[in-house]
Amino acid sequence: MFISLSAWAGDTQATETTKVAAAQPPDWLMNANTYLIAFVVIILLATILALYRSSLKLLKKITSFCFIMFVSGSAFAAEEAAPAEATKVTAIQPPDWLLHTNTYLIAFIVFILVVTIVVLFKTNMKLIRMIAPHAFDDEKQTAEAGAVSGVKNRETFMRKVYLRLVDSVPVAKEQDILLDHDYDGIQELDNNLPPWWKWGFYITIIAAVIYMLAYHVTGTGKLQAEEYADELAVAAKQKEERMKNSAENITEENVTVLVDAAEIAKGKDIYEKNCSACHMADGGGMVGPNLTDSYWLHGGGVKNIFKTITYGVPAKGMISWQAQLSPKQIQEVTSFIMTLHGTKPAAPKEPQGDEWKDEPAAGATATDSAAVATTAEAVKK
Amino acid sequence: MTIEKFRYDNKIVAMFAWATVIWAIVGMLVGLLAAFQLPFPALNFDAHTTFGRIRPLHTNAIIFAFVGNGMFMGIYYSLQRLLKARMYSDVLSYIHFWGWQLIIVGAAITLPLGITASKEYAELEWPLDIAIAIVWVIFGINMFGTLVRRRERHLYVAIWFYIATVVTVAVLHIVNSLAIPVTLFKSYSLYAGVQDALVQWWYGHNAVAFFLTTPYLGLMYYFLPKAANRPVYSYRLSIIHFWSLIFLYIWAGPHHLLYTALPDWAQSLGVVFSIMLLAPSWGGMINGLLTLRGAWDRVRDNPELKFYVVAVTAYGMATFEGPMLSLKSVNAISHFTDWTIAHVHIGALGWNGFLTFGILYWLIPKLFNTSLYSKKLAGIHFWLGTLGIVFYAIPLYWAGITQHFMWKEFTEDGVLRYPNFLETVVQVVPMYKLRALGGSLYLLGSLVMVYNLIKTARAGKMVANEDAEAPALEKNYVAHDDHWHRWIERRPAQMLIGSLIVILIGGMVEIIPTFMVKSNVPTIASVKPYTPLELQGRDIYVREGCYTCHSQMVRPFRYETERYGEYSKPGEFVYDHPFQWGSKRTGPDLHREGGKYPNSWHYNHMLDPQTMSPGSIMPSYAFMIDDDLDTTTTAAKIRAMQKLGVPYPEGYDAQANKDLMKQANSIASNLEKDGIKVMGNKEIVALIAYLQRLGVDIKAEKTTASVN
Repeated sequence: MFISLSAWAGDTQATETTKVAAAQPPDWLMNANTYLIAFVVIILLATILALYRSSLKLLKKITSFCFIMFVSGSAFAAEEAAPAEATKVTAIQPPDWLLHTNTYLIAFIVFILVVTIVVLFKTNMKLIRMIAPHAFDDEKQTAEAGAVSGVKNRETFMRKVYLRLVDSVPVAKEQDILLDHDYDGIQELDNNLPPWWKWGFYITIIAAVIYMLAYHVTGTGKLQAEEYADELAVAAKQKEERMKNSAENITEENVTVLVDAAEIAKGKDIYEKNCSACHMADGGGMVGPNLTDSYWLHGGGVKNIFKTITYGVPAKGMISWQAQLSPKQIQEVTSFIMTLHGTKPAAPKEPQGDEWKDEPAAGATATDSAAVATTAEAVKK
Repeated sequence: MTIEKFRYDNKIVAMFAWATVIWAIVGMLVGLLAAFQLPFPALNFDAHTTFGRIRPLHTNAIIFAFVGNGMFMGIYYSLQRLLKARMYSDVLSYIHFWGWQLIIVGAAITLPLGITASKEYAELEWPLDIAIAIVWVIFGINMFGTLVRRRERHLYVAIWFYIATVVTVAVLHIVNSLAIPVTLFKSYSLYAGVQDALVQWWYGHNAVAFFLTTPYLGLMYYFLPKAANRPVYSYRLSIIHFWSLIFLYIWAGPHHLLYTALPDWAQSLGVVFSIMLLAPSWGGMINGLLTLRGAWDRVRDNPELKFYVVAVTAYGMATFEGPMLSLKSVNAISHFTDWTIAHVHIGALGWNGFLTFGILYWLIPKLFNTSLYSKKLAGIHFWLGTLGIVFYAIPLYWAGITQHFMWKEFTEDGVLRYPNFLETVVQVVPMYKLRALGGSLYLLGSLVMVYNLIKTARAGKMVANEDAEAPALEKNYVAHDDHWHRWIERRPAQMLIGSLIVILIGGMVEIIPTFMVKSNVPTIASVKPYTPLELQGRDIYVREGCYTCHSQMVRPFRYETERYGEYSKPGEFVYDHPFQWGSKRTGPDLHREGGKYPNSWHYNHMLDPQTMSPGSIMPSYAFMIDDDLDTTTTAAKIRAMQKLGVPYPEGYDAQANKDLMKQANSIASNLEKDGIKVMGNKEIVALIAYLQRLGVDIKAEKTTASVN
């Protein structure tokens, strides 16, 4: 694309260069198109920057994406669990940085950057050549002379490798390989298959064979069901760790009402995002029942509400939220819902279920029922 | 050696050229409407212009109307000259032209009416499918007649590609479109579920291969060396990349179904053949770009060469990206996101669009015996188009990656960070706006081209029949060249059979076992046929093109099963004629939708999605609440399903409507409990019935298993 851009630039260049022929600065500096191209590049960069800003918080994940490109989805998940095990078994510890995923990530990014810079540099040189054809006259002539006479001029190692990989008959000598084909004036050359292309093709074929063997013969590669099982195992392990670490693990058995205003506010936020669609923002109910009255379909009180939210009542259309909300979040939203009791919604739904009385239920701790009582009292006032 | 005089038919070429130009603008306008509908849902004006109906109209218009006519334009021009012969029959040429345009008009009428088979890029219903097959065969006869009457001994590489195109598109179209008609405007795919998905993506992927790629490679091989006035870089490369391309392409379809319920072995074949496809695809790019060696200076002055260079480069980029997206780990990221949309538009806008524009800039002056009205305007078009592509693609790549990471992120507590799918939609809406801007730029550039071309045509006079002369082919030809491939280049029929065999292998190896070997789709006893009401509801789902935004395929990833429920099993889709897995999630997956929300939620959500999901970009389907369900078709639908092997009891068609009303009334009374008054005979009730059925059967299996 860059090449063609510069080609377009050449459009008007012909007329302009004749005008500024006497000027001393290099052609490309005087050419309006150079600035046009620079402008476009700036526009592009600005666009990219704008995009970058608009979802800044995702940037971290995007960098890791480059990494995942090479590792299968679940292998990435397994990555997190692996180092923990490794530390246990290995006696000789490699340096930390070698074990760290970020090291490879950074190395990869640096590599990509270097490649990009090289490509940009090459493109730039080509660009300059197109806009100002005489900028590298000396070099060009020697190169051409070399091609025609076969004199090996300035043949660096890299150039030799390059020529080997391309294996192309120079334009000046193409008469030698011109076939006698002529289709409506179109002729054909008989260049060899570019070796880099040919070997690339072979490599993909070999890769394909290895892939099929690994996944379907030797069983080295994990198919999707197995990958999924691994992923679940990792998650289960993580959950176990969490359980161990969290001193007070909240369940419907031990959940209490939160009274802290900040926590209630969090609950309100969760409610508005997830619950208001069915129960309305003011709790008056629509698809779901009214949450402000004293009647409950599946039992009132903190424990029942927590349980209903956690597991849902699929038969009645209440979905389970345990996959989407953590126990702590469910506690918060439960606590918020309890503050709704006795409020006056705009369009309350008729009462459903049985009346629930805030009596100190059996098994509840003193503080628990006290908290409920306070909330209820506060609401009554 | 006698020199024969004959005349090339330029009029048919000009007709196809103007059709290309007109449909390009129409197709892009429809695409632009779809692009603006995403950030601005108010643009879903009524039932006929909802995104679900507009999007298939856009894809069909671009593929079959714009690129299709562009292909015919290029083939009718180049074929005559490469064979030194007029088209075989003018009558066939005109039947081909007008037949094709009528089919397009038919598509433009039926798709907004919701008459659709819902298979991507094969949405047209069975009468139009038959028309396509007939017109396509007429095109084939016309081409082979010309081949027989040729005055050129050997077939040029462009013609190999044309032959492969004709034969493969015929095979793909016919096999994928096989269906049992129910009414004039409704049919059921012959295949169900996993098998339907495999056949569809075998077709879908090869629509890209043999409708958007091989004919256009053929065009490149004619128009690029013509414009550059340079010999083709390598004849040997042409041979190798042609045969390897058509052989490998046909296998790659399953890469559209990675991590789905498609059997693992078929997925793996899709992966490896996509990887191997990289080199053959790039073979075309290399041969094109290297043909420009020594002519790069001409790229400055030739508007058409500029377009060709970007087109071939875009082809190279898209065909590199394709194999990368076929790697399972990358596909896990890109699939169902906007990344795929960005990818195809590099191909459509860059490769097909720019190549067509380049040909038009070269061809119209030739046909009208004049020179291009304004090179400067062509330059402006080039820039607007290029910027359009950039502004189109970058935001969508960004959106795609954003979607993926938001879908899969877990909090430290082990729950989804963005459990509400809507959050992931709202996040990318700004990208949709930028994409629409990119599309607008591209369209603007195309309008500049239309003006330029009209001015050019006005300045000249069309040469309807161009005089030409060439010696007739000698009867007793003795081959004197030694390259083995020259043999088949003298034999169009063998070329046809050769390509047919080559393209059949891959399809057969993948499709036949998936149908024959039972273990590929293990039966689930609890999966039962749809009730008549659910079946009618499903057909509404199909009619509305819900699949354009909602998948029905929960992939085996923890972040999907946590969000949607158990991952989808092959046995769950055995009664799905056609399958509705979808390929894009603008909204959430619906395979486990059944029982998730109460009926009243669905009712309110279809009436006005924004009330139930503030910020949603889904169109309103309020018309389903007013429209009566057409129950006259129920019996015929049941009978058609029985023919397809769906085990409804004998004679069930007679009592299906009784069951239908019973179920409908029970849903209506359930809605009434929530204060919603709706008659049981409305479309919305059927749709709710279907949505509530989605993905629930397998749960019964679980219950029985645990009871045992």
